[in-house]
Amino acid sequence: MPPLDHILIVNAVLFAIGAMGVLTRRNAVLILLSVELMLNAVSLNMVAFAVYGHVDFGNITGIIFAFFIIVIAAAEVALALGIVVRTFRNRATANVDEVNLLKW
Amino acid sequence: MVLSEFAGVSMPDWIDALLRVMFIVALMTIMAFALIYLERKILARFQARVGPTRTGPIGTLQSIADALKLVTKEDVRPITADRWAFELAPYMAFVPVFLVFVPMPFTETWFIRDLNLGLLFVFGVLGLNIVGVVMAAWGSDNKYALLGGVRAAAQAISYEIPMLLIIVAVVMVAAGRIAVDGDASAAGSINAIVGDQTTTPYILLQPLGFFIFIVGMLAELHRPPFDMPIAESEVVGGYFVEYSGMRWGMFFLAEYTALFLLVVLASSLFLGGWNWPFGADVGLGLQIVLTFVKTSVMIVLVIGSRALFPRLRIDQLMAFSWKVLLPFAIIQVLANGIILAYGGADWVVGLVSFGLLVALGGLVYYVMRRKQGEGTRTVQTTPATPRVITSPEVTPVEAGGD
Amino acid sequence: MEDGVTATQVVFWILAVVMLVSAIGVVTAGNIVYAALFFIASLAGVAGIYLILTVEFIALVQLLIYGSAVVILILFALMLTRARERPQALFGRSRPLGIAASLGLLAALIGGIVATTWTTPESSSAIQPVGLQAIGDAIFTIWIVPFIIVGVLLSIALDGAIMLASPDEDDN
Repeated sequence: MPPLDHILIVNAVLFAIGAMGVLTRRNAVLILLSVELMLNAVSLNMVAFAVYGHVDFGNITGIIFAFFIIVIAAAEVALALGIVVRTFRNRATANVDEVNLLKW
Repeated sequence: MVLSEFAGVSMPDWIDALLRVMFIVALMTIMAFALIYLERKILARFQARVGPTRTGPIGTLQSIADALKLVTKEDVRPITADRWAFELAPYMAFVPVFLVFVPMPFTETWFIRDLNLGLLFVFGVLGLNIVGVVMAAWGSDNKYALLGGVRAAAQAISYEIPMLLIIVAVVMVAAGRIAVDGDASAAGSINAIVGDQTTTPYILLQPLGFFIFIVGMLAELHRPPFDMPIAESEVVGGYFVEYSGMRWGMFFLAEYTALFLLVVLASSLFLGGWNWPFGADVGLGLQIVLTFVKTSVMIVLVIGSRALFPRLRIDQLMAFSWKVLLPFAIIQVLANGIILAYGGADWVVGLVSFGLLVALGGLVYYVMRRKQGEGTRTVQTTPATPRVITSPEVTPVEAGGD
Repeated sequence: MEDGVTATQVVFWILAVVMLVSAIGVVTAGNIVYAALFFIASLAGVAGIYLILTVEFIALVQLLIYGSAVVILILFALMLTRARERPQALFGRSRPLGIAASLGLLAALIGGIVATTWTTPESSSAIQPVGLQAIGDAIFTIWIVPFIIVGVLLSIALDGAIMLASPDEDDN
């Protein structure tokens, strides 16, 4: 087993890469991908804590959290992509910086 | 354990694992060749032809000749195709299908590894081959390929859901029968499920499950009546229209391997695999014969479906999955839960599932009849009167022709 | 035992490198579909690390939900928004700022991790793999209310996504 702090550092790097994607990309779908990367980093962290026994509720809670994160991510992707497709249909762009009107 | 059972030698784990993998690879290759030959022969019989006869005795070497032709063919890549997506797609489509063989039990002891999460593994990994299909579709830079790939992906996602729910229903039934001291975690293992079917194959307990599984299987394999992704008359060849030579061959191999794989899975889950009706004590020889008899019967049915059914439209396919199969799969899961929670007997489970299957058939029949009625009404309301007059004369002839 | 531990660590680092390199690919690729394909590789790396952490269940759920469903949805969205026909700048104007901010975030996170003393069990035998039965028990007893709420959320999300993506009936 790798030491816990190695896993945490890897996850931190993954999280930061995801954050960089969110902050630099302008296509909504790519931003969504980067958000998914961040979610993955978080659920990996949860599982690592759970497996190494750093959670007060016994070592299963983190695994359940990861499970819920994955499930909710699926719902989130479906909704977000629905919004992206709808925006594209109305505005002919999927770039978040071009969707700058509240009403038209 | 593959060798040690015959020779009585013990060996390290990794050699054992390697031998098992090699066994599966050999089996898969032979099966793919055999299936291609069988498909041509069986389809030919359905269409009153004889199929390949010239290569080898009664044409048995035809698949090998085909393979040689594919290997020596030029590997063409369209100049506008996306290089990486185009070249990697066949591997992405093929590797997951091969990986799924890991938990498949051919006899009581012949599998690569018996996983407790075997069923979840099968569907988790098998789903990845859609990625390969979509990569091929997008990478080819061809409208037909793109349409075919999008159709394939939509179809695969739609039919995976009822299939997974029905697997849940099967595992629910199995869990009650397999559980030792309340620990039912073995019920996700395919081999454990087969091991439980000594006297009762699960098709008797879950006839609706078997039906939905077969329908979902045909859809996953792009077999008629669900072959829109590769329909020649609509999208030329579908997602692999731009492929040639061995890359095309890999898509072909993936498709036939998936056919063999899903048929083995269906026979394990519903027909008792190596177990029913002789039990576990008959020895390896008879068990493997049993597996192959069951899979062969189902393969003939699947191949025959290509000659027997017309193609659906894409909206009909979607409607059938989301409006018919999915609700019935959910009802099946709920019914199993209620019956098993109150300690219902096995025959109650089987009867309820059979009732649901009859209800599904009745519903489909009713809807089809009503749609048919609507069709004739619209014809009658059109001002083109000659049509209405000639139709009574034409219909009996058509009916007779059928 | 010591030898086995090192092998696991080597596999872990290989997976970590694959995961991080493809994650960088996701956020820097010049082609949208390449980004999605890199995303798949990254997810595979995450699933592999779940396997190393002995939670096969989460690894398979990850493959099932992310690997097929989410990735296919994303590729669909890319095709529906006609990604290939409009070559364009994929990065916003605030790119340098974004890079700086994420590097700052990374520094803060790593600083926090290094400053804290974490206790790792000495050998992998001290870590009990969590059984499937235990996960099932936890979900259906302690976490049953969140589980039901997630179910409701999923069906609402399904309806909402259909509502959003289906064309309006009154504006043709």
